[in-house]
Amino acid sequence: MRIGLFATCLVDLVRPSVGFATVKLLQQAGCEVEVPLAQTCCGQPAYNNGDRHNAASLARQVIDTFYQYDYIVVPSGSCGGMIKVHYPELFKDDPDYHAKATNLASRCFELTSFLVDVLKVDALTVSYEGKLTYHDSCSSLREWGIKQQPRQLLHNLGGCQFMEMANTESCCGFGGTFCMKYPAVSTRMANDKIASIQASGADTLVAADLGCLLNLAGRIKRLGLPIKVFHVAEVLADMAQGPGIGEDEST
Amino acid sequence: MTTAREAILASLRHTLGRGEATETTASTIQSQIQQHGRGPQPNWMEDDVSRFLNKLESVAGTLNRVTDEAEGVTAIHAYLQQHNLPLQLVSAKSAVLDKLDWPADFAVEQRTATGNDTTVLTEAFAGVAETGSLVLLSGMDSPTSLNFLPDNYICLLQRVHIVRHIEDVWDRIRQQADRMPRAVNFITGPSRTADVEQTIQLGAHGPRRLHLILLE
Amino acid sequence: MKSQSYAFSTNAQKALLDTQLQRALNKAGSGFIDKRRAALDALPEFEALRDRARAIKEHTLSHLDEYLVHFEQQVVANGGQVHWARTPAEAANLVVDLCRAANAQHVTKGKTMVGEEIGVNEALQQAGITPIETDLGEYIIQLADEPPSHIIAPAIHKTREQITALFKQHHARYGLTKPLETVPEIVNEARQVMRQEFLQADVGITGANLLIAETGSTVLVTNEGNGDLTASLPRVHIVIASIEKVVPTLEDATVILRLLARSATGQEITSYTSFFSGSKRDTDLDGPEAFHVVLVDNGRTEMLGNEYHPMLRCIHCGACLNHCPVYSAIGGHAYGWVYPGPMGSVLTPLMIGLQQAPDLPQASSLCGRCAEVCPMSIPLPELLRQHRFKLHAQHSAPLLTRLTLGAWAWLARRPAIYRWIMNMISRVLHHLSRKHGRLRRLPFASPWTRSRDFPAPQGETFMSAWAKKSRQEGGDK
Repeated sequence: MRIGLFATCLVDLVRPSVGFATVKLLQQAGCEVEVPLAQTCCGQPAYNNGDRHNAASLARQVIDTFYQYDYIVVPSGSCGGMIKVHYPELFKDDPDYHAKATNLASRCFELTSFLVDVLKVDALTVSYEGKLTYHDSCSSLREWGIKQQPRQLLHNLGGCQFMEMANTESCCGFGGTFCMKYPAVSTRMANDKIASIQASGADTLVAADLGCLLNLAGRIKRLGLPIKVFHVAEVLADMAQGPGIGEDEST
Repeated sequence: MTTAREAILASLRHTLGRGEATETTASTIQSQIQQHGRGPQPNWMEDDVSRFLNKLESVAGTLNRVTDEAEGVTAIHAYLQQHNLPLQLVSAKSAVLDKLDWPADFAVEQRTATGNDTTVLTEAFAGVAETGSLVLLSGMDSPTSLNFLPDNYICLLQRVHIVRHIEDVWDRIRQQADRMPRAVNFITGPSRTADVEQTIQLGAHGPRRLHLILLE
Repeated sequence: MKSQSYAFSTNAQKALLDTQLQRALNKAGSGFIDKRRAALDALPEFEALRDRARAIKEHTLSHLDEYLVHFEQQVVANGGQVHWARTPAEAANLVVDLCRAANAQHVTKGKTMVGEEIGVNEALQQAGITPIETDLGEYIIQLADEPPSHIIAPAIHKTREQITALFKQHHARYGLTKPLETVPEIVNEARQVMRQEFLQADVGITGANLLIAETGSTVLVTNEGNGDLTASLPRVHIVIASIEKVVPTLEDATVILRLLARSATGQEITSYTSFFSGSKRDTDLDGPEAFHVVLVDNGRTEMLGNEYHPMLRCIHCGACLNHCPVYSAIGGHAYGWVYPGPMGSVLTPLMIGLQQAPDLPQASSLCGRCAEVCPMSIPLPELLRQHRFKLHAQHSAPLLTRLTLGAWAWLARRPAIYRWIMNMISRVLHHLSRKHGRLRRLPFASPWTRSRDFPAPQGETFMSAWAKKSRQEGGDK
């Protein structure tokens, strides 16, 4: 099974360990993983800012680069959702790329869903010492219908207590350029999400989207709260011993 | 000069890609209307009467079950006394209501309601098990104002008039008349509002209390 | 209603800092969300009803002219009249004319969002007629001289203290001076005041939740009973309704009603669901002598033929507002016009122009919760994106935004340069973070760093580290 890994621009720039964790998980499960060089951005920032033209250019690049693989796996519901849900719409007037986009969409998976639904990974012999809560990113929930899969993987971790928080399905306030355009509203949404995290009693926040995680970790750190933040790939790949997102490197 | 009506209809027809309704298109909507097919309907385990009464009580309705008109009068008397209400009623007319034998100390008038009436008595056209609603039709015998003006609303319903779903009411109305009455009111519990701090308060503008007399 | 939508950004920020508003919004909290959830859990047929409702609406829209004509015929057969209006001004003038013709001295009014849309209160006031709002929430904001902030609960932004203050101020003239504290006291006093208004009204104006073509009926859904008192007591009943409200039959209306109350307040049905079919008949003892329906277009015929068509399925339940994290944070007034929240962000630009409300479609993280809860399956985030496509084509965004996004896209299309630059940025930012793992300040990113630290890159991009690792492993082989 040849997987093309689409790391995403945020993982690439800010947290490569998520990329390595993803590769580890896929290789462990017996997949051959390649990281094609020609990957940059899925085009979602352009798309959500109304720029169909640039979004389509970047989409063609992604399609052309990843078409050759059996699957394209993405450690993000958001970027993955762009490919799966929105690429076909982007090319509704271009029959050639519409067909390619639809085809690629059928082979595109978010990481936790790929592990559970395709690779049938049941349990990982991994432990994490701590009380863990999970934030469902909006795209994972609503573009993919992913809810149970990450929990299935996390519930089976040794040494860890899973605390389900209230309002898991509320947006954290990232929303791509939304958090830059409407920062006060965005911060308020982050505050609400953090209040839910605190109320759950968890000391660790996990999610499958780095955008959400950067947003929440950034606010958590500004507030000086003792909550560790990891991407779900890092925890599942047993790579969550080091500093969490936004944490001092000496941790 | 094009009227607004002509302009709007022309604009709609232009968008829909056709001219005025032809016989073919007219028959589409005619058959839709004539068939008046039902959509999905809720279901439940209990019998319809139990469902109806449970729903009624869940929306703060109270009730008495009575086997005949005399018991009905007794129940109404007890209700008025229980709530310290004067023994005065403004009543609708119906075969059953007209048969009620009021004691001497009762003042019962059959007319439309005014702003000063305390308690009203009507008879429902139907009760809907699905929602616990009472259905009232406007008419010479059942003026609409009775349903809304007074503080206390007593409604008599014959058990045989309990129907299962809301749509059953439409079929019953179609059976008995060519047109809808001027007003059809589905009344489900007393009047209420949550406009002050999202706190439910009964008796906003309509009746504060709703009491059902279910007649076998 | 005059719009303040262009000032969204400022008003949103003000709203966040408005402690009374926040207290009120907190009180409302997850109430609507929880109640809706409970109602849906109790109705396994909900999804099937949603599908059916969508089909009913789409069928109706594809025959909208015919159903409107049939509706009109039935209203006339019931002794009523139908008036058509293309624009808000036309519609408002029609209502004013009808009130004048009825020699209206006292006018009561039920809650109607389309009435707000056409500015009917202002038009009546200019004609020397002050309509009294009878829905308690609308009454409260009428006293406060404010627009509604929620399409179902217009005064949701008001605290109890604010309401008692308003009553104290305005009810003195009725001789009601007792200081109020509790909810029952407030509602009781409103009931007392409104009673007189109901009884002396010459004209009653309401909206309509639905219009039924089969029978020429208008449907009104309330909990207070104010709508019925407004519709049935006066000599004249005027119904203001937009053209897409029509459905073919009573059964079709029933499908939609099953969705409406559950989606709005979590009730199976409201206390009063009423069907009005014309004026007082020989067989009636009461009811209005004249029954008028004012049908309003205001851009809906245009929406029928374009990409915003799904919006015509909206039944004004407010579920999208209740579930929207942006609406929950800032309330309805910040949106600046009649319709707030997600549905308002789609409709407002269509009705008053995108240039008057450029923020509305953008002030959304596109989380999609609105579409998830919409009983009529309206793809609200897609419609917001349609507005964004138009804004982009109009070069609406600030220059810096356009340059940044343009530069990003340019770079992303050139993977080799992209990799080089991203790696450079990673190194620089990692260096600046001095191993603290985060940056308190970041050039060009003050909207982020004002309230959040920025987690620092790890010093090398994934692509660079991967390439290195692959070379090493390749060397080892």
